[in-house]
Amino acid sequence: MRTGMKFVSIIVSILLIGSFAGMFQNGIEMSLKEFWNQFVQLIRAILNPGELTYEPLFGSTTVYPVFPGIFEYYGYSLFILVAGFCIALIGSLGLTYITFFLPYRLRKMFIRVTGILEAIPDLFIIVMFQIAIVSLYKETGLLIFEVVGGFERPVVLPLITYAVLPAILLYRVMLLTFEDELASPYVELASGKGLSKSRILWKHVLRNALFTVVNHSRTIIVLMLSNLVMLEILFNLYGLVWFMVNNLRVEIVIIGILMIFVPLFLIEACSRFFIQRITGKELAD
Amino acid sequence: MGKALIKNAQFMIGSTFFFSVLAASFFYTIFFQDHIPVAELTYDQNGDILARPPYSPVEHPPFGTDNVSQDLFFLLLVGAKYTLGIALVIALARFVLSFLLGVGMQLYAAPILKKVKPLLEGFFYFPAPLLAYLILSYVLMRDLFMDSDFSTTFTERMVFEVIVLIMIGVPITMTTIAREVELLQEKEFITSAKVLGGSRFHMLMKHLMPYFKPQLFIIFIREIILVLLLLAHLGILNILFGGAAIEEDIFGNSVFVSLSNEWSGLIGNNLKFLFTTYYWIPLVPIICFTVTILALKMMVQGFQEASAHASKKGMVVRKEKKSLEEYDQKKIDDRSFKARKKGDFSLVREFKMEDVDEVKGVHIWNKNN
Repeated sequence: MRTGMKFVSIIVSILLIGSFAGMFQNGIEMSLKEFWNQFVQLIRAILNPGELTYEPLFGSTTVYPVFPGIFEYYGYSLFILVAGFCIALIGSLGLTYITFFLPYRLRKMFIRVTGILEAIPDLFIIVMFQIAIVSLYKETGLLIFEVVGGFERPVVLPLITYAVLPAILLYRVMLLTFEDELASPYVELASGKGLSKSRILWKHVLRNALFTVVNHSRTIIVLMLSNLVMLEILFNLYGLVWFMVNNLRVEIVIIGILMIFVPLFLIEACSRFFIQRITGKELAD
Repeated sequence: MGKALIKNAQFMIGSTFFFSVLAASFFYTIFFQDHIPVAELTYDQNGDILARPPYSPVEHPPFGTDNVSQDLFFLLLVGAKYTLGIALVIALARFVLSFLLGVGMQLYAAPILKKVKPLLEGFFYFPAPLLAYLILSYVLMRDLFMDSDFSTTFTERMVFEVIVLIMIGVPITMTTIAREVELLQEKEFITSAKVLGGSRFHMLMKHLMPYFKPQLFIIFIREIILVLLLLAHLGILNILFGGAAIEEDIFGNSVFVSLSNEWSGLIGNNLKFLFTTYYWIPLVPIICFTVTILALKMMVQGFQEASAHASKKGMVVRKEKKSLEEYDQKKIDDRSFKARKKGDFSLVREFKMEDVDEVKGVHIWNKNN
């Protein structure tokens, strides 16, 4: 029930933001009346998505319907988002596992360094990857990955680039929570019983730490959403954000945002429900 | 706190870098009037052309030159004060607004805030660069396409952009600050202050602020980082600060030209060189953004470490004081006990004359607690 209310209120707030943005699409027109007009227009557009059209080229006269063509862009973006998060999660888990076999002082240093590294702009990472691949190509004539996308929709390089920042963030969160968990009495008991370190880490600590990690992953997914903009623009990936930026209309952008929001919200609600069932802890909002 | 900050290497490196870049940029404007040197062709002894611009950072240290052979180092130096200045202004305005709104509503209108909060959640799912692009693109860019001239003046566009960039940041920061206040309000000392009849303003100034001040500083610096990032992203999307003019470059293409040498404009203008041999032209401003953001992040982390250190130190001092007082009490008890046991009252007298102040002090201390 509470989740349903939240769902509706977030949709309303996205619509309100959209109608606010709508006031500046033909010059600056700020009035309550215009705001209301935009709001009504948006709701009408969402109720009849089939009538929405776009012009593929600026100033061209032929128009195409947005649906169902947009689903191709949408599926690709969603795939990049989810796969990027999974890669980041797996990568950071592996790194965390390795880190806990390192000496304590080194671990402390890693926590400090990742604290600074997490602030690296996504822009910088993307551009560095691109330049590295291109210069490798120029030196050796070997093109490992497609650097710039198009309708072929490359997968490997964008995914790797995309996963770097969330991996750093997740890695840091995991290091901190694992460090906390290792101090708790059940770890002492487990090691006293003679369980191996990796067994304690994988079986006991991970299960308890997962709770905090899921709590943080909402912030990480929000960050990934805003990184998706740069990723699709710089790699020229034909994804949903690319579509929105190149066919900039309030209705299209709002429908796109809603299309991203709904599955993310459902995943979040489900994982929240299951983790509460498993760990018995109440997750914060 | 101040001492701990000065001793903290991370904080000092970060803040020194940030402020020296800003100061150097202003210094250069005041004393050299933003003069940007232009690199010449390089000749060998015979007068043959050896190299021509754009020079790479190796040929023309430290940063090389751009496609019209301007020295990139000075270009960035001149632009620094605009970029960092704009970021500071926007971050400060965001911070002040969200502080007033967040704290004010949490303290005086908590029920309203609870109703409004879900309506602000949409901002979490709306990527900030996309939202800014959606709002700004007509006024700053598409307006120019329509009839190759802006219908607004430069000042109008600049004020509009600043206001929009402020507005899209306030909701999230405001919720964060309100949340922090809410967490502090649950503490026991707030309840006791309430019971004793402290007004909300009194509570804010006397009880919340001491805990809140360090966090506010961190929120402010984070806001600067966010604004810098947003400016860089908008630069990629060709939203240049205060709009841009269309000019023809040396190859005859019409290009957007930033009206100042602001960093995000430099990225946006030169991004097309990324896959050419002259990749350093867009790369250098991107690296400058990155280094500045990392310096700010170092400030945040250094500040956190220093404040943790300072609060730990305070705790130790308090503990020492307490044990000292306990020790004194014990000493006095011992003496009086000894005196009574021995029946020797000279000791009692001696103690009274010597330690009367101390006893009084202990007595009052006990009463207060």
